[in-house]
Amino acid sequence: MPLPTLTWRAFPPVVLAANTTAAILDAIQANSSVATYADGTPRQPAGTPGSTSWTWSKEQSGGVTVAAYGSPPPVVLPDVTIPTSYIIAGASSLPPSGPTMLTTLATTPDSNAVNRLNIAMVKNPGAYIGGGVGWYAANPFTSGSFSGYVNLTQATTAVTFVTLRMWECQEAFICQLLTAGGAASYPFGGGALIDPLSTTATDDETDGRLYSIFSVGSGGAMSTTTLSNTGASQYGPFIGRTGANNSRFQTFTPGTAVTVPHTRFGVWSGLSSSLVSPNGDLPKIPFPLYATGTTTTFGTVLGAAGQLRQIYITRNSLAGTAWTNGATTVGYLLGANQTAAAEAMLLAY
Amino acid sequence: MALPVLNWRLLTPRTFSGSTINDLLNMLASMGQSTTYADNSPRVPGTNSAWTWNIDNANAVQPGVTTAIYGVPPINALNMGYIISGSTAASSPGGTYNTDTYNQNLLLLSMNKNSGTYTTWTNAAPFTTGQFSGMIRGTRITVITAGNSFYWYECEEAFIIICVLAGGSSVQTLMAGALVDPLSSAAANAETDGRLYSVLSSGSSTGLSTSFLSSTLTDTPFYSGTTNGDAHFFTFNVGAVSTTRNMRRMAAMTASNTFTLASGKPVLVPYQMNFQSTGQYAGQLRSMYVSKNGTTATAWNDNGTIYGYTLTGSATGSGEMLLFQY
Repeated sequence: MPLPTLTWRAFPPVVLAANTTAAILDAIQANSSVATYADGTPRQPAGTPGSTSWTWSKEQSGGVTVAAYGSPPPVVLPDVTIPTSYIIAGASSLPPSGPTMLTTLATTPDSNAVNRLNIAMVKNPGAYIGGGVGWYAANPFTSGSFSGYVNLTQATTAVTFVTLRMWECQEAFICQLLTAGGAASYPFGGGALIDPLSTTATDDETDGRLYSIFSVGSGGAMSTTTLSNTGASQYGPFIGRTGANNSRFQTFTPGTAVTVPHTRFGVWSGLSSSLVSPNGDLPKIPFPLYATGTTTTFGTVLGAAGQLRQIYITRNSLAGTAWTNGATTVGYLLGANQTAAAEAMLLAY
Repeated sequence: MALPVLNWRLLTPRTFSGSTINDLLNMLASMGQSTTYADNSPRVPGTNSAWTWNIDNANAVQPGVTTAIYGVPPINALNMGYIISGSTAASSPGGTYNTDTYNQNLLLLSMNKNSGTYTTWTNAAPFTTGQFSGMIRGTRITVITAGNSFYWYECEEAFIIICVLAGGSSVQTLMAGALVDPLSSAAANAETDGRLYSVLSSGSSTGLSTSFLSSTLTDTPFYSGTTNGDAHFFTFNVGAVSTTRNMRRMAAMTASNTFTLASGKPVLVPYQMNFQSTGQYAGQLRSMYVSKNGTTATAWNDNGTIYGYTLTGSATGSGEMLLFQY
């Protein structure tokens, strides 16, 4: 039984005030106060049925933002979901201890570094500790199942991030940092991104979901061949690799605090700007995923996880484009480049 | 809007005991006209998943013996007709061919849209009216050998025949029907009933590879080669036209023997196709999914619950697998 249909909405793009971790975190958190989406529709309050509005807060140390943490809007009864929160954190100096990095990767875990952001998630969170020391506590949310951090992107001293794009839906969010002119893309996000297409207890959490975080990782920008690449040196969204500085896509194993890597299933071909239906419509091809254990071109993984929720493989496109059919918005394109069409995913409106 | 889910059923498998293509066609006719399924459940042609098949034994090339069987599905808004044919004649008995040419003792596969009365397969219009796809080679000549096993699956709108050579040395297949869901009913994307009508064959040159879902594109049946005897997979262009468009798979999918849900239940990954010549999107296979690796022509069941049936390139070991959902 498929999970409820998600409806993705886009924030207006934000030009970062500075190329710093603090400015990126401020921009993410500030979107929480935006009243109108990029298409002019209102952003409904989080308590409104069907709302897609996430709530983001920030933590500062000495007046400088060191973390942004957010939660999805509450789901209206009876479809109650497990409480989850997501945190993006990092600073220009190392904390005195921690933070808790994710250590269950099969090979080389990520490490915290100055000027480099990290992302993590928690199930059943307690109170956020904050106070400038929370983000590097063993569990910044006091209680619950904390995943540990993975690297978000490269350091701001290595890449000049200029623009933030951000999308949200009822149960997930996606961000994308872009360099000048959108020549390079660094996507990340979190939430109930995966539909396990099963209601069997071992296949999903008690609410039927699987909770995940993903990042392009600290090794490079999103590949223009993110779907057709065989994976040896690829960076991109929804690719869970286990080597040093790789792209990450970690999902909680149902009922536990342990996360496992997931990755796309299939080396895709036939992807081009011509990939439309004969009438010109954009195809919405389900994005299948692996969970850990089986051997693939990406390494060793184990079984299937399901498919992404309302995120589809589609024609090659410019990053950040809104696809419309007449006056109807079909969705938004998550791609590698704003100036040259490349392999892309559609976030369905 | 996705098309209705199909319910695949297995006819009672048969081991070929004859020696000619005519014997084989007779055996296939017997399977297609069966009144029970492999699980002994009743089968009433024209209802549920059961097709209706008839014999053509009046063709001039071999009068009085079976040179074709022709069938129609139980759901058939566009009056589709399908023909499996062939003869022992050394030279071509005529007829309309698609990509391949005639060769004696090879099964041929074809389809017709907006069909009238069946005449015979070597006529330019085998169903009197409508649009005829032309014939393609279905399988290798080696299928006409005693001891080979045949597995026939059918659903409301399509059928699949798998031949496993004696000893399991080769697996060959042919399929036909509304196999592909264009996921759109727009006029340019689908026929007026929302379907795309297709035929597929593994061709007369080779059988299925155990890695047929991930190997070189030209080495799979989900691709249309241009050489005589290659594998073919094409669909009618929409509308009252007899032209066809070749299709190909859109992903190389390498699974494994452990590619299941955590619960052990089967993974059902939709299999996507696009058009070879334009690169446009065609659709996804209907109620046929990429799943864990397995052995061909087996039923995947859990405590008596059948999930579906399998097509792989291996009859004795394990290979990449498509699951036809029960």
